[in-house]
Amino acid sequence: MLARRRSIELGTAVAVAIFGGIVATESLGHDIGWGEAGPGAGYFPFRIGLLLIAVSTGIFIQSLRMDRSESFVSATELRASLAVFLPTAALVALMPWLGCYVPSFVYLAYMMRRHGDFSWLRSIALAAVVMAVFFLVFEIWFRVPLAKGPIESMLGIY
Amino acid sequence: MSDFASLLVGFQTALSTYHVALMIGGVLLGILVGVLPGLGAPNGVSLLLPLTFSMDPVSAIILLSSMYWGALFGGSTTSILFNIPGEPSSVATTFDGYPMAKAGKPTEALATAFSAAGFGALVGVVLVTLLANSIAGIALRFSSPEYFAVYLLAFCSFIGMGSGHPLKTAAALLIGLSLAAVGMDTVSGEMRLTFGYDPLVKGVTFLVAVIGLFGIGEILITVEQGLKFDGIHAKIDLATVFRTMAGMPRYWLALVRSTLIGCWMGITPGGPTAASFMSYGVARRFSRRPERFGSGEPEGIISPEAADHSAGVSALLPMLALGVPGSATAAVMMGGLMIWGLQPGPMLFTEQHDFVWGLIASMYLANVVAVILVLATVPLFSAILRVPFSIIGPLIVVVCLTGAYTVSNSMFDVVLALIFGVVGYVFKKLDYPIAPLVLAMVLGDKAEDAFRQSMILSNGSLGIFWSTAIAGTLTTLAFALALWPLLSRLIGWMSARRVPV
Amino acid sequence: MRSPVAAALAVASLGALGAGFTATSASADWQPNRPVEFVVASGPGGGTDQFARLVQSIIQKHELMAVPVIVSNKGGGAGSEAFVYGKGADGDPTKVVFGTNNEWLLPLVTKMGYASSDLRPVASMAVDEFILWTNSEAPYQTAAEFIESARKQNGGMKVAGSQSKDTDQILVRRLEKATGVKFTYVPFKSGGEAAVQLAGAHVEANTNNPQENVGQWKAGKVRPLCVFSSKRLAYKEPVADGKSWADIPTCVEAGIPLDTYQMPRTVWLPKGTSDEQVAFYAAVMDKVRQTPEWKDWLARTSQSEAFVTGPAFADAIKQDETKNRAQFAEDGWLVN
Repeated sequence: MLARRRSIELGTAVAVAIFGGIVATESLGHDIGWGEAGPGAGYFPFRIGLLLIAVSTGIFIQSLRMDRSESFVSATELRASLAVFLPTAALVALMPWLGCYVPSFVYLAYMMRRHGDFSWLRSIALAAVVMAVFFLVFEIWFRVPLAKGPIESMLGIY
Repeated sequence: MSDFASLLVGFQTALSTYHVALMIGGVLLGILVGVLPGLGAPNGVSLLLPLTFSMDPVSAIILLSSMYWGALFGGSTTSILFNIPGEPSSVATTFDGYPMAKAGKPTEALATAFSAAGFGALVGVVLVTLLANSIAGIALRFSSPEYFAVYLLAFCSFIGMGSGHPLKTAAALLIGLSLAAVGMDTVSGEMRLTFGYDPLVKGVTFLVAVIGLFGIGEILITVEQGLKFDGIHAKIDLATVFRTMAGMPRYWLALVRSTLIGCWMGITPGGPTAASFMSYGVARRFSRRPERFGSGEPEGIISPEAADHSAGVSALLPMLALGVPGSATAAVMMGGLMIWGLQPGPMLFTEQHDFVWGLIASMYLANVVAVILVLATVPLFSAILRVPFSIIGPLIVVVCLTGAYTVSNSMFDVVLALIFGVVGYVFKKLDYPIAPLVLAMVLGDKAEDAFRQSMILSNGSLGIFWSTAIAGTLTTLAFALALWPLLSRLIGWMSARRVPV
Repeated sequence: MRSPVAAALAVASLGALGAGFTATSASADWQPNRPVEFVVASGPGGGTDQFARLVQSIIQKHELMAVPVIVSNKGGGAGSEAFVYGKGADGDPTKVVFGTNNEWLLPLVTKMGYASSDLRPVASMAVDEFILWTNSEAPYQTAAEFIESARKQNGGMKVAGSQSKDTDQILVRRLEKATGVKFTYVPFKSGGEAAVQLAGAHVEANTNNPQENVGQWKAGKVRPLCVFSSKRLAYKEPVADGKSWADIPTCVEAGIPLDTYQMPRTVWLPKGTSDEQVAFYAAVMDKVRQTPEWKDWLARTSQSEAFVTGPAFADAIKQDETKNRAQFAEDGWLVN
């Protein structure tokens, strides 16, 4: 067992409370009262924020009494999840710089090779076909431009 | 009988070879954009819009509305196969559709959904035909208090049943409400929860949240068992489709009830999303085996689908009669109407008699065409699940992220989708229900606007929610549904006491 | 009390011709070589959306540009999403933003991620009119009777409009100042919703554009009282009850000292684009507004012709901004 469910429960409750705190604090910048024309812009968000803090405190207290032995995620499970999550996070991190096409192509080829037992050649070919279909459907057919990066502009594609 | 005669003339218009061809083309294109999460019906409509400028208005609206019907059907496909709802109104379909498909019955799940949707749509069209001339009058009676009551009813019918952890349900609901508040507040014109950060000005887009919470979150959970597992080995053929369709009459009660909810929510401008959630909630509450909902119960697919489509169909006429579009797609269609030289509004029905009845007749035909085409594609789509997960998984991720980007060409949305993916993963493992969060996101700001508009109208008096018959009935019904567990216990207790006496 | 936009219009009829000429000659220097994106500062279906899509279809039909045009809607934050996007596309001549006067009014009343000067004005292509409407069941037949009734109700008279601190509410505030009567303004999401609320008699009045209410007028649900313009509308064909747009009195005629209030349909480029690039689009828009399709659309939606480019347009913006800044400061709406 790598992470106890109880710790994650407590952590999530704290995160939700912080989120509620942010919502409540921000709404202080608006009218949180109930004026002549009914509730102000901050009336509901302020109370929603406070309620979130109250609710997550309740969850926190309930979670304290939880069985300590229950697992949230085992080491193998986490490794499997991270094997997908980390490349995906890298893909998201690269997209603002390189556009949609190139990072997606690399991601697809890598994932198929790494997890699908395809040869490099087949993985790359498959990824290329997918991205070509994307280009056709989005750019040519539906005229929905996807983000492009320096490599596309070097090739003169826009 | 003049309406009936008009309809017959409409059928003559719609049944020409040219128009049937337009319907088939429109439906196919619609299914395509509906299935691809990065594209929606609005993309398809705005793609076709320039083409329609050279057509006559009846042909143009037949093409566009057929595409819209196709997209409605296509949107359910991804809900069921990949847990990624393409439109807000197909979120509720994921609750039972996806578990059923995952359990190796994708063909049954899709066929059930499409049959229910087709039934709902056709009943919706019949209703539209009968009410065509009075529909604008009904909708005119709705103002902010009535809108608020409708949203409250949708909330209460869905939330009140409390099968999950009550505190966690509350937390999910409140988070959804907070997210709905991000962006510009209609009533005050102030920016809320944007922290001066530009990409937040437009608010947290529903589709982005859903792509993360459902699509990416689901992938992260699935791959805990490794990426190596193969696709589903299910027998996929048209015979299964027919068998599923033959079994539909068993669920006649769910079909009829959901369709009624859908039609009612479509005409009163509650909309398809509220209708599908409400119908699902009601189905679960009055089911004899509510514990099976959420794990692939056919009624859990039938109820939201029939309600969604009957609402979608019956909402089209109020839109034309009032000029207030209910969805982005409808809005683009309406814009088209004006460019073709037609003025949406109450007079459309008298001034453009042939146009309106041609459209109504085409709705019968196009929905039949759509059901046939979409059922024929079921084996094809089910077969996608046979592709090894190591290909389909990464592909879903890329499609999801691209979809998040195309919503408003914003890289921030892509990052947001990933964050929602992690939240979806953690929430699912900790049994925080995601559905209330999504429902609150969809209806939260609408409900708040309606509430505050009502308060301005009434000078701050809550009595306005009981000031008209419609609002009063709806509000009372909403409270009754929210307190139903308590009420039923009370009734049970009272009758139990009476028995011995 | 002529609005600066209207003032500019007077010049425009003379100036447009000249501006068009200079623009055409300058356009030879620059042309877009990749697809152009029309960024719409409203959701699908709104007035600005129709405006942009119509321009797109005219450009396509008459082949006024050599590259394809894509329309994308960025209506978040009352349209500010589009302007923020335009700011982000600094120096990119393929992003053309379509809006109204909200480009320079929004940053005054709300903390926005852009300033009006982050975009370069290209052209103002037409103006949309505002009319004071009331429910047809209401007792008052004229604007004067309406104002009298509102004075008696002392703030109880409910006026629906689209959005908060936007064109409709600004107009209602001016109406209050001009007449000394208080109204209750109820903001809805769109002019279409405001039209339905008035037709259903849930509010007493709205200040919709002609096209937003014409359907309900024809259906006999609403009645126009007066138009906020210095002269009556030009369209003389009967619309409803045997009355035409031209039969609606101006508000000044009807006894309300509020001369002109109009909403321009504007086109913008990101800051950092060159003069030739601005001139190219100004020339294209000039050709667009001379097509029968454009004139047809104006007539159908009862908007008024008014084409302004170059310095005249920039001056009009500056004047309008100054005037509104003063009003917002009085009302405590001003944030920047």
